[in-house]
Amino acid sequence: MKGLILLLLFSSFAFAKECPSIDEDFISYYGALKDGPILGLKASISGAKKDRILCSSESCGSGGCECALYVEVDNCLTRVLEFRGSHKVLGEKADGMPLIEVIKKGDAIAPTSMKTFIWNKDRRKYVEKSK
Amino acid sequence: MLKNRSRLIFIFTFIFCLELQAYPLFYKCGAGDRLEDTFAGPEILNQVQAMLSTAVNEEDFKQQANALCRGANECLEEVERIKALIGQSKDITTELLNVTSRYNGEIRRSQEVDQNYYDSIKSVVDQAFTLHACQEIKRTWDVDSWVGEDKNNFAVFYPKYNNYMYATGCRGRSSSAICEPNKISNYKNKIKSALLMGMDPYLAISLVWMEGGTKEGLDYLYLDPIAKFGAMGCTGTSIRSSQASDNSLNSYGTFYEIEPKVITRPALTKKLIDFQKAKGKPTSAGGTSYFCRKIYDDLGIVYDEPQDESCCLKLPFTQDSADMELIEEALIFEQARKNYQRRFSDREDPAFRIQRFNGYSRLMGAAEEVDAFRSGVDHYEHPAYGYQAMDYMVNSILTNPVIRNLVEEAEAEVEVSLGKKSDWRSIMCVEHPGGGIFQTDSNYYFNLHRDTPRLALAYTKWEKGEELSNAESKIVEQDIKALISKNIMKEDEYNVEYSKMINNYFTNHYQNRSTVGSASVQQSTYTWENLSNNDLSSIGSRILNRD
Repeated sequence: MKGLILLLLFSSFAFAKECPSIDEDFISYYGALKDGPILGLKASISGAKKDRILCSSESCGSGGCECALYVEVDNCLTRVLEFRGSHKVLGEKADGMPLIEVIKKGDAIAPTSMKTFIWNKDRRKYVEKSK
Repeated sequence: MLKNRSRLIFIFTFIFCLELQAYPLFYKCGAGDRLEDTFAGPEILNQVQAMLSTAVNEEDFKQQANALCRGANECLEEVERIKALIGQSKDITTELLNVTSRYNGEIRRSQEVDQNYYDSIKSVVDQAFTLHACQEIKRTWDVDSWVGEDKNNFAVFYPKYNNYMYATGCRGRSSSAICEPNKISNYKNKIKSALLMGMDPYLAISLVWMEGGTKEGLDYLYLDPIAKFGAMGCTGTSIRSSQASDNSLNSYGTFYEIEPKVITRPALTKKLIDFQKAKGKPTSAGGTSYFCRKIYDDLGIVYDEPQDESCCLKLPFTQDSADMELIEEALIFEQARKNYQRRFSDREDPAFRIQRFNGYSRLMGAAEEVDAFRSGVDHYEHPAYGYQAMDYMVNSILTNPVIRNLVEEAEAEVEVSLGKKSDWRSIMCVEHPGGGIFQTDSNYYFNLHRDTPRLALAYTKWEKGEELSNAESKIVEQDIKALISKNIMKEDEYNVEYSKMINNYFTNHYQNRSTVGSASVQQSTYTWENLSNNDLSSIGSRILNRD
């Protein structure tokens, strides 16, 4: 009996998943400076309260900030969309996740762009919705 | 008669003046980082310096001068004058060493020069009207010749055929290119606004060219809602959109909780008083009022008392005497001014400060798809936006007689209405505390921007057989798609195993796209070389309606 309990305990340790830090993931993806300021925003995308948006403060400028959306995938907050500009969560959903519209202000070379991103359940990521 | 003369000067200048070589831009900084004077040195100076540094003897120099001038006497005379300026009396081999070392120094970023050198070159510049003296003509040329018959359109000289040539007013060099001329009416009043708020007017113009192009001029400048609060000194915190309430500020899709309070900013309110006075709407001598924005709305209104649920700036004048439109306009320049007051990360080049307006990306394009030539740049090392803005300054804005005239007129108006000179820090002078006289090479920032590396770290990793990061892979894929769309790569080269695709890209294509300039050249018709005299003449004619 004692052995069974120990086995169960070890099994649960073996399967307990340690989630990677989203701050570190963000820094690694954007190559931002380790001590560079990161803005953390709570978001509500998946319906879970944990959703977060991280943005690099130093990237903020006339076109917006470099940001990434993290939602829970397999019990861990995972980067599912990288974007710059303002975002809007749309009412329409695909596979339980809302579509997201990202508007990036243009400049003298590139016009303002509006893109819609849709949840891709296989890739577990947001991808640009094909027109 | 005058009209014909003006046309002749115009054609002459655009045809002959632009034997485009780099030229030195001289500038004088005074107290408070104020730009007191600028002029473009004779471009032939650089030629002569180069000739001196390569000539082995006097005869060799003469031969080179003859080749340069194609035997034209007035050109040869000019060369001799410049040579005298540099130091004719010295033995040419000694001079060779001096000039080489000095020239190598000067061609870099701003270098200090002595007063005698500055005065002697300026005296040559002021007198010269010869074939090769294009920059001198630009400096002394009658402003009217740069203005169209409508008295509003004006010519902008920008010598490079690249993605940024639209500053000239035309988006291409062909006769079918879309042209949106710069108009004096879109600059005149706002230059004065910039001066009154301590913002560098030349930098303001460079920024609107970067952001909005030429159509709206300085009228393009605006603040997003959160920046309108920031300009007043009001602060807020970001919140999630689902938590946004009726009391949250929606700043283009990002929500903020603004702290309601009353702000007192004596230095800012003093500038607002001067601003209204100089704009012909003087404020009352005493009294108190409050410029307030509701914490959920960026509309600014002046009240006689602080408002609930608002962030208010306390003003030392009455509500009746406050002009809300003028205050909003002043705050735009106040916010812009704040942005370049300090260095970025101890970097001395002003381009790093300017990059702050656009933000710093470690790997441009990792967040969003951008034109391929702009992607893959590390702004922490190569502030490409800042380089281009500085290039506009030294290659165009500071030497444009219309813009200079508008600034000089605005400065005079400010002095008359306020009884003192406007107090603004030039981006050219912020790194020269204590002032002095400096020169910079006109090609310096152009070259920095053109040669800005793309995907440099990714390439090194690939060479070492290391894996690319997700962001690097994403940008390489975007680059490949751009090349496919231009028929430079084939669809088949994309639809292969990932490692094959990356190897193919770095082996066969990257060498042609490793810099901003080379990538732009490969994927567009831009050459990143000088526009020809005919092109410039044609653009100028169309802008000024002198076809």
